[in-house]
Amino acid sequence: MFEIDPDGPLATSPVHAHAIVDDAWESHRGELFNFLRYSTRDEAAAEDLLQETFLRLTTEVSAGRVPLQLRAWLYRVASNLVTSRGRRRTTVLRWMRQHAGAEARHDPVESPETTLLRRERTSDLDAVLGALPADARMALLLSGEGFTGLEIATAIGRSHAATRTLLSRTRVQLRLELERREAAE
Amino acid sequence: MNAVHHDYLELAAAAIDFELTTDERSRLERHLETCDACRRRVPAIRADDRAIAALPRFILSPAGMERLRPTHPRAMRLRPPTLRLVLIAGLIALLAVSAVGVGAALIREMERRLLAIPQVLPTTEVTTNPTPAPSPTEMGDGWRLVGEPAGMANAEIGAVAVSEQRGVVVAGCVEVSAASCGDAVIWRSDDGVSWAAPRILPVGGEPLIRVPDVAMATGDRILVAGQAESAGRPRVVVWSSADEASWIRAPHDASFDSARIVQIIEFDGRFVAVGSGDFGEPSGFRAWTSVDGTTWTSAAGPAVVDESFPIGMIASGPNELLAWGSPASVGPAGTRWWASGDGRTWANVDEPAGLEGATVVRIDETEAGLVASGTMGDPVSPSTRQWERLSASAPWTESEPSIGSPVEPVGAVRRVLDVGPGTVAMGMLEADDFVTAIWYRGPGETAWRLAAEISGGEPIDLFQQPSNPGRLFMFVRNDSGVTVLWTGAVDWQP
Repeated sequence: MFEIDPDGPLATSPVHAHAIVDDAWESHRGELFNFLRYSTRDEAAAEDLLQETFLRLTTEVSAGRVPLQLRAWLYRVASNLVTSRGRRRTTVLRWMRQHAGAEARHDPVESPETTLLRRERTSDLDAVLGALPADARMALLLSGEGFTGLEIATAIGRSHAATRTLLSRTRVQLRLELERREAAE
Repeated sequence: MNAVHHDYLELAAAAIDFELTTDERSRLERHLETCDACRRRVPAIRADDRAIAALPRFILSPAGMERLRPTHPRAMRLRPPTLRLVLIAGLIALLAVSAVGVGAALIREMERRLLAIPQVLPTTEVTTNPTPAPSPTEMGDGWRLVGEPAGMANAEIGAVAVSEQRGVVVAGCVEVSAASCGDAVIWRSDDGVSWAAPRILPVGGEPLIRVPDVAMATGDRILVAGQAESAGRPRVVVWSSADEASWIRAPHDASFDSARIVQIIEFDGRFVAVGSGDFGEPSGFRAWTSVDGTTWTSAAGPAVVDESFPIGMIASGPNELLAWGSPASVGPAGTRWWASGDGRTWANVDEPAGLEGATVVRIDETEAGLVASGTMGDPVSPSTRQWERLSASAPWTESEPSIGSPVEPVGAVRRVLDVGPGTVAMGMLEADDFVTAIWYRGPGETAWRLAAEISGGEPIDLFQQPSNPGRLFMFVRNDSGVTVLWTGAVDWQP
């Protein structure tokens, strides 16, 4: 792991910047991809946004601005990218997203039986999450990644109070919708 | 549901991510005391939160990983959308054509796979101590990735128990997802390398809502505990086995309702379990005893009943059980303590001398005495600490800072083991980044040394090979969410 100098901007050498980005990639690519995949419901978009997130990190680090809270910074950038993408996405992309949501998950060691069971058990939650507005879904996913309410507020660019309202309403909405689906089965 | 109930549910939901004010908490508690519907829904809202956190992980494909790597020359160019559309269309067509063939191949592969771990691979991700200090003792060879034990890769490991007679027993859950634990299973191994086919634990039709996370093994019995749901409420489930093949679920006791067990130990000829009430959040001290591991009796609780709940227990002396826990899920740092002479009657006790103000997370028993791990300071940014008690009458004293880390002795410790004349600890060096770390203290040494770091993984547990205690194994959940096994040998050399 790299020690990040807390004493202001660094005169980051290309080699140092390369190493910091590489280290961040090794440490956070998996969780960020998972977050982006659930947030966008689109594998190709998740890959693009993951790449974009790390390109921005490369730019920042190369300019000597090494984020002190690297993980939180990466999630914040990724969240912003998801929001931006949501604002500009087209009908075609929405169609692709819906179909991407039905794709089998990447798991080379998962057996067919396991996949079937997993789909059955997660499909309701997955479907309800997918139907939520993008910002509400992102907030829940960030919470699932262990971020605090304040950190989520920073990441999605809302006030503390607005984020609290968004999260609590969404959680209740999610619960009631899951109950409705269970009752309908 | 009317708006009043809706508001209280939102208040309960807000408590997951934000701290409620005292007034909000009081109002919520008062409402839940009188409203059955909300009382049932609040745990479900919390369970939804856990289910989101436990959703299956999407894994970046190896090809994607390489292509998107920021330092990859091609990664500097984003793929044109048009090209991507063409590629996706082609891929979908290819997938459709090959689906049948792939399915058949997967089934053939399943039939072929053995429940054995691949041979030991060369070290690939371990960074040995970056700041080695002059050491009178070397720990032995480095840590190597063994691989993904078949059947465990996508499972959630809840607990590991080792005994000379029973070997290694791993309790866990396959298919952890929105429905929480799918099937609770037991894996067993004599050597940590070859694993028997998993045994599914009987649940009697009740869905499991918690991965079995308590396991203990004695000469003649293995016990596992978890939590199932019945009529919308969590309840304790205990399984026992005398032969590892057949498992009995303990008959239900009324005290198991709305409760969970956090630890079971064998003490003075009986099994003693401690845990808490569970009303969406752990609350209150509970304990049970059993002579045979099958029939359990609720113990008499402490005189002071509050929201504090135990998180661990240890036999701190020949005639004393000590349990410790947290005052509340959200609250000031510190630790509550309970003691018992026989496990059947418990009482609140004061903080042990030397642990004043400490938040103790776990205590391990070693040859040299007890080792406590926890934190001190501001609950928002606490620093990890370790303390030791060398004899039952001695006070706890803080451990020496580790070599190369002048501030903190070690990181967040998950397990401390006696390994021959020395001690080895495993845990997380930096909680945010999930860096699994191994520390050791050689024979006669008082300071910890960092032996190895494994990046990109969350430590699960550390155990010794029953026939060769110098061979250690460690379960780690890697950053793709896959359970992998590492191994290292300890050979204390002067």
